[in-house]
Amino acid sequence: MKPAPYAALLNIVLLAGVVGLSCASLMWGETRVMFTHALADLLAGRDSAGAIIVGQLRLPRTLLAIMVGGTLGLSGAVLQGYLRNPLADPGILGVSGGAALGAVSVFYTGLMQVSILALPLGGLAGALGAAAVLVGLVGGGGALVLLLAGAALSSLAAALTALVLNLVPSPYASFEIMHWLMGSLTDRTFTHVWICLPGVVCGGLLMLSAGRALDALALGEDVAQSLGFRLHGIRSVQTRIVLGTALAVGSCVAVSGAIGFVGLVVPHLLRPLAGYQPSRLLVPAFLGGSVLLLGADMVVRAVATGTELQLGVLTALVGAPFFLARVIVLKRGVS
Amino acid sequence: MTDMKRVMAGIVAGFLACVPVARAQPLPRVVSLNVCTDQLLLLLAGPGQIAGITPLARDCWNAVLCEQARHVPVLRPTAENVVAFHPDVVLGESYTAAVAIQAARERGARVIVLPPAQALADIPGQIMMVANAIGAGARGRALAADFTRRLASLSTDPGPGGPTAAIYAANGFITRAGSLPDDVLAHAGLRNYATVMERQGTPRLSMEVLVAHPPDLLVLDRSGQGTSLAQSMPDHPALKRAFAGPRHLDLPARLWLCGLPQTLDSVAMLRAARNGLENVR
Repeated sequence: MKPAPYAALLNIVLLAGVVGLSCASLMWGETRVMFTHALADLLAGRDSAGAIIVGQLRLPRTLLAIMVGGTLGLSGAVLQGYLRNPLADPGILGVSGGAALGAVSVFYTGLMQVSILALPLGGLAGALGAAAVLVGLVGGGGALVLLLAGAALSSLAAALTALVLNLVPSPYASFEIMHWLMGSLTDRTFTHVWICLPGVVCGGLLMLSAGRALDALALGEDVAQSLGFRLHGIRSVQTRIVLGTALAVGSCVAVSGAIGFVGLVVPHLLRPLAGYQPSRLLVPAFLGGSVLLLGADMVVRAVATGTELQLGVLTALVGAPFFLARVIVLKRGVS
Repeated sequence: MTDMKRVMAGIVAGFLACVPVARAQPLPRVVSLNVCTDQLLLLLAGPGQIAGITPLARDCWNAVLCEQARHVPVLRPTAENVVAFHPDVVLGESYTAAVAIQAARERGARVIVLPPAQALADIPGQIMMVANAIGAGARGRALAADFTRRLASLSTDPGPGGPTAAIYAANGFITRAGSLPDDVLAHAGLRNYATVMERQGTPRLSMEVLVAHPPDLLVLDRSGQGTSLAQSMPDHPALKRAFAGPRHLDLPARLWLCGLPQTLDSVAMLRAARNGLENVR
């Protein structure tokens, strides 16, 4: 396997993109803020309007865009490598949908008042449930089985989310279904950043640790097993990937809602640049997901008239053509 | 058979009405179809006079008199219920339960339709309308007079340079001119931020704009039961930082959801908050 010459360069460019877009996202918004003054006030601990806008409104949003976008990109790359299927994505497979259902069941029923931890745990439980059903159902089935199972799971999760939102006492709940099905980062707080962070770190590390196993799996299960990777059982690659995805996606969806297509598009775009080796794709996929979501969030804020567009609308507009293109390629391969 | 009986009863009642005998008439039985008329009825009605009020009147998020509402029967505001209970008087609001009100008219009940109160000055008139319809004129006059007296003692003029106040509710909605809360602000000596900023286009205001161009006083309306993203907006830490201490006031929306004597409590709370602002200045 020939190492891609541009791998390091690609990571540096993507990292620069993340940093640049983060700064832009902090400096630019609905109101004009003297950024240098705001930053000085923020560092000095003064509660000026600029410091509050940058520190309490824009900063959590930027951090969440990095974490959520990165998680979705990374988990897309890992799932595509593990399932050896270029159409795998937490959104399409129903993992995000399951996480949204879990988070909704916790948030609107008041369980979250008991402990703030209940929210990411709800997301984790939902994501884990969906991932477990998926792995159990699909087993050795092909791409079609996987996509069918994913479609069924996400529809079921969306329907159950709508049901829960209709049953809870709050009069506003049923209008918030779009947040959970499409995702948005509007008016998030630092509490949400802290809710999200542990899951993203632990889940991300679990997924990254599976990189070498993914390389081996690309050569087939038998080769991977003969190279010493355990594929099933408690300490296997499977457990690490399912748990890592569920942890990271679950805690992200719990604060942002299910944002689709990031995990599909980003690995697909970066694979030719990073080289066709699953482990080389993981870090670029994280950074690329962050770049995509930061950009999408800027666009959402720029076109806002009255109510903000949901983030998932934009990512779906970008992602659905990719998905259709992949389907056409798949069809040609079959016929 | 029953029709004959009713005609006979009508004739007898007609004769009795013509005879000028001073005898105590039974008070009319009343059904109310709206949470605002529910509460006016609770304030004015005699014992046993209420045939039914809406279930919403027992919801303490929306009704000030939710405790009293537990002691009277509730009725869902449907045409079927109005027909089944055949009350003498039916109270409703212009925009709600239109079919039930139509059914009441056809059944020959006396129907009083109140428009939603848009100013504090509307309230005594509404009290008297309900009081006269249900035969509680004396009680109504006392309540209306009390209201007018208390309003006069509380009311103050904001003037052109008075402090501004924004009423901020779930989902980032701000209250604009032409509503009862807007009139309450004016009587409390506060200028409505929505009017001052001339934000007539959209009723929603993002937190960023609110923090960048802050009103003097932020009135937070945390109404509604349950938890939702919309209702968590007024609890955002950015607002807590930007409007610390006396610069914000939690005001339950039930006080001014309907025009009631209790609405004056909101004027009193806002005046106290306004005085608090001046002490800080």
